[in-house]
Amino acid sequence: MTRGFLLFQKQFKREMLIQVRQIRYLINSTLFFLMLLFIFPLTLKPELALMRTIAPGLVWIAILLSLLLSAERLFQQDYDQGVTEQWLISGESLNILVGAKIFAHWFFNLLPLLLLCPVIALLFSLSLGEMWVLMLSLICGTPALIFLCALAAAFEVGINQRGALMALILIPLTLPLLIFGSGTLQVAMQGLPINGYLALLLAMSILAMGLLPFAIAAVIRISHTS
Amino acid sequence: MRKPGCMVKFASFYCNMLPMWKFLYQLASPKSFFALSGRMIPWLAMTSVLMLIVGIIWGLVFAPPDYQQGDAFRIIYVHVPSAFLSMALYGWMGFLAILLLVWRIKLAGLLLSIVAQSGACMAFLALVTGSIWGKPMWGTWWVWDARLTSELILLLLYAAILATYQAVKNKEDGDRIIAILTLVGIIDLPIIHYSVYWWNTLHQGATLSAFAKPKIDASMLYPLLLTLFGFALYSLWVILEKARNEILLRERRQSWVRIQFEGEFR
Repeated sequence: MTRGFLLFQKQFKREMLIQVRQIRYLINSTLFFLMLLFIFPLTLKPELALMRTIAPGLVWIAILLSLLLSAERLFQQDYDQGVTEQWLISGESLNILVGAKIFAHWFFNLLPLLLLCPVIALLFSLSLGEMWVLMLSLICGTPALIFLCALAAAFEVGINQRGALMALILIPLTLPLLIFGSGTLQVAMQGLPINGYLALLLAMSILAMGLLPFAIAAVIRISHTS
Repeated sequence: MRKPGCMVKFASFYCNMLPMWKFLYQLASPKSFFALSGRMIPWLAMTSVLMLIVGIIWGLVFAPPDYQQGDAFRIIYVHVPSAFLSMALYGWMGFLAILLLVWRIKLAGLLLSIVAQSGACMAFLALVTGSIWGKPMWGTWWVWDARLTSELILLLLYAAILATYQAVKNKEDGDRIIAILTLVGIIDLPIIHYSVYWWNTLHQGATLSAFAKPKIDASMLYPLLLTLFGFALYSLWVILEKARNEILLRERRQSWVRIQFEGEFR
């Protein structure tokens, strides 16, 4: 067991504990996700064909917005309690610490999304096969989404007007991901193979998981020393 | 640096061997950059205005009308240079971001937000002129195809970079933060360029390529090249003027700035 891996494990366990003990935040963001999904059928014509057409894009938009909200507090709590400062002076690898933190965040936020997929299939009249495709695309695509949300959140620590600026930074970066994510379900609805789309989503996620911790750690260092 | 003496010998060896290296080293100092840009600007201004006037008049009046599109194609002389520059300026920003983050050249960080302003204007111009061109050609102001969407993403990226820079109090920290943001967003550049090949889109493919024979007739090509270079030199002129202002602002406590201003008052 190398030192890096032990550090990752410890940080992962810490983050999972913190998330479990503050489960009200997770419940809030999940409820927000559900609310967004309810608004659209209620404000548009609730007819079947329309619901099936907008379902792919809508689910991904709702995920983006609820993850955006939950990511805001990702680094703010640690910054307020002085934990970030301890990370910086400890001499441990900030990349691994940040990576483990976001990985735990992903793991914890993905579970309710996967559990709600049957509900989504019910609301938007998706078939069972399409529901599985949705779950697969979520598993492959949400890591990239969460790492990008974390990047946007790292920019925002200690700055005014956080929410709007975060969305402004986040949306151009996540647009390709959203296009491919919703595209997966759209082609599945047409009966075409989804392997290419899933491969692209997975590639984006692996790229994000591998490279973004460095960027996030660098941003935390800069915004902390200012 | 563990062996400063060794690095100095290395650097001075190269500076003596290659005058180009010395020139590049000097560019990193605000004072030399200020002097050099001051000398370059009159030439840049004259050349760019000349190229723009000649290119635009040639393109709008003298170039022959297209056999398919008639006279409406002439907007190419604004659309193509601005689209090309929006990507080239972002590429330059990526290079400046690496200079700042790896070699800690502060002047590169200073230039970053300034180039972003020009790049944002170019991206906006490309989208607007493209939309104006699209209405007679495709029958619609906008279509969600790959090239247009990725150019829109580029405009949003520029807006995000500028907004983040404004939000940070300390300018030097702001430079480093937008450097990171630029590098994360640089993945959009190959997406825009290759989008016309990867997806079946409405937008046409590349007409000009560095290695192949151009697919456009010479009588239309030359004014296009003129406006392309004219736009590029004009952007460089504006960027250098803004950079000079920013240098004076940031280095206002240095003695060379004080001498400069006192010299003007006398």
